[in-house]
Amino acid sequence: MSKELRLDCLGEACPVPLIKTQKKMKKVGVGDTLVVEVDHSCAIKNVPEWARKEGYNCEIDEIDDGQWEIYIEKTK
Amino acid sequence: MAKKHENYDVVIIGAGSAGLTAGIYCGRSMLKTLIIEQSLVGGLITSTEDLENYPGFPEGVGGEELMNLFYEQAKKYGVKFKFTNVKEVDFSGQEKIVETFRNVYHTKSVIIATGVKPRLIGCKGEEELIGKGISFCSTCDANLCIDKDVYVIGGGDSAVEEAMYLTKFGRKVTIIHRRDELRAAKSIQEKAFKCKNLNFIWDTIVTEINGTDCVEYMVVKNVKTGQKTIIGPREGHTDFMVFPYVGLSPVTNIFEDEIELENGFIKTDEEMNTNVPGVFAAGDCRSKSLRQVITAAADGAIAAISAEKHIDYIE
Repeated sequence: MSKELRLDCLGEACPVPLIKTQKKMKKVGVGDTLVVEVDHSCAIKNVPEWARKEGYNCEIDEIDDGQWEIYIEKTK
Repeated sequence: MAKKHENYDVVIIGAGSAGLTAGIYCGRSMLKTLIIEQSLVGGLITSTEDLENYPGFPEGVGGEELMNLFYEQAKKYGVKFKFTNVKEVDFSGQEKIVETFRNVYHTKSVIIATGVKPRLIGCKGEEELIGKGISFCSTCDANLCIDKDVYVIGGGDSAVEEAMYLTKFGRKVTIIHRRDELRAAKSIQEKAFKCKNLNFIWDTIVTEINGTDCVEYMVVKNVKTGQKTIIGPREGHTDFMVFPYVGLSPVTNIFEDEIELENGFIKTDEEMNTNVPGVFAAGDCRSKSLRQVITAAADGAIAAISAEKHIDYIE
């Protein structure tokens, strides 16, 4: 059964969300999804770019004005 | 994890000038509209620094700046955005299905506005070095060219314009072209031949690009004499930059089993209908002769109206 983990990066400016995400993804199991909560627009660029380069599935939801959830599924 | 199902009137794939314009028109027609974009808003034009032929901007406008205005306008009319890539589509039923990794979208119509991406040279070693000395975006990577030798491959408008731009950064910029004359517009050629730091290697193709984490050398071949030459970095440097500008290819591979394509481009009529009812195409991904922001936007508007008519018809 795949799990969904959350990572709170609200209030954090770049590159902190990316670094935190990279660290956290190491602990995420294959098939599981990490949901990164961010409110700095730069993070919705560099976090997905990194995730796709790694070959992970990635999707962004704008949940509020200026607040996003980045879904990253560890595919391998 | 179970996928979430959502219903829409229109799903637009791609948020470049065609997709965003289609979104504006659909939004204004009160259609429930979703735009799915796999990268950033704006499409290929965002890599153009200055757009001088878009009507309404006599002083010129930045590609990204213009696209952000399109984006704002689409959002104003209630268009929803989803930033992810489309995994699969099924256009066989009246209800069309578009799947991303977390969602399944059920929609009455689809507008494909996926655009084009730069074509590869197709030589040995190229794919491994993309982003490591081989770049398709001079604006993005100009800073990496400072004090280095720069090679631009191609002879069309983009190749020559980008090469001229790069002369501001690179120590020496050279265009490698497979013919003995440029294909670029005469006005651009005139500027290019006056450009001090710009050199040309004619009748030549690149057959190999090599290096570990950067471009260390490349092999070029003169197509007339067959002679091969190795090009290395300038003295005191370990690497150089290569910018291929050899044309564009459509981003349509996920649709190839669903709709009719023509050399990879989507075949449509003047109303942007593909061969599948309810599926429309707009912009650069379509088989057409002129690929510009303005023609893509025009396609988007037409596709939106056609989608609206289709929805009225099926209901």
